[in-house]
Amino acid sequence: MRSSKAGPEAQPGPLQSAIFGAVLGVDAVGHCLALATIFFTGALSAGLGLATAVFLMSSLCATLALFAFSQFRPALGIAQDTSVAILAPAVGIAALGASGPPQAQVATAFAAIGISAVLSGLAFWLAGRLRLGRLLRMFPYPVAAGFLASSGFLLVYSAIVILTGARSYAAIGAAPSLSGSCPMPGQTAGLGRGRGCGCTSWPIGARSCRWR
Amino acid sequence: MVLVNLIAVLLNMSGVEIAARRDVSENRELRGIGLVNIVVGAFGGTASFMQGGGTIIATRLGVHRAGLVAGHPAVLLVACFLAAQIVAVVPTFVAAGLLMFIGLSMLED
Repeated sequence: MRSSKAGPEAQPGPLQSAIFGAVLGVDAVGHCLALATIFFTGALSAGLGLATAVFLMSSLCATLALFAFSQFRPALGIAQDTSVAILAPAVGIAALGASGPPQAQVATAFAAIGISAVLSGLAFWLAGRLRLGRLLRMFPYPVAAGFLASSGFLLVYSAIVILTGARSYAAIGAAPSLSGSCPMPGQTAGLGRGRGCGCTSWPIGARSCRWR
Repeated sequence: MVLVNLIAVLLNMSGVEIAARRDVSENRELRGIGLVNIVVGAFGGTASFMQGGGTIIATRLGVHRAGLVAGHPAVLLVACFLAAQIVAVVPTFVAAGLLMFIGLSMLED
């Protein structure tokens, strides 16, 4: 009777680990493409290829940095999806509000995404510098889970928007006015309450009127 | 948005800590990943930090660190240069399906 190998002696070697890393890399490629699609759809679709490359480069930089300094061995980095649902409408409005050729709009979108990353980086660095990490972990879990779940809901909604082609985040800023009835006021108001934060529910609620 | 990112990075860190059964200095991790994001953002990149699922799987499997360093970044680097071709061959419904999967995963978590 053969005994199955288990435990530390069954750990993968360098080649198997490299293949495992490559598989996770392919997964990351799909992830970055999906995230780029949410920003660069509709009128901004000219920037989709470049956005995918930039998001992949962001993931690569994060992974290499985590390899270098992280206490977790090994740790992998990736472009994050949690804030994308909140950021995408703002990027769409900023980009499509920019005057000039489509290239200028794409450049504005990249600038908005970059500024958000710099602000997030500053917040991370400051939180670490001021030793707030332990304190921030006391954030109530139901609230944190609610934030992330509502981000997930917005991502699903965005995917449906992209699939149906009826409305897109990029088209939000192109809408001529806010006049007329809002297509789903109850839904967006509920979403705002679900986020549990007035500062995020206001822009979502206001922009939802342009999802037409 | 910054708050959501901060929550997400700490949740990921907590998840990996539980999976790896070890404590780490969250302040040190935050400082490091903060600097990375400042640099990445300066080039138009998006906020990037620890991938909870991938890191947990790698930790559980006990993968060889050098091998992982060789495999994962190599694929990302190649894909960076081939991004335009990848976008051209991947239909929109596949990208939207991936997006839906990511969103549903977040809802499930």
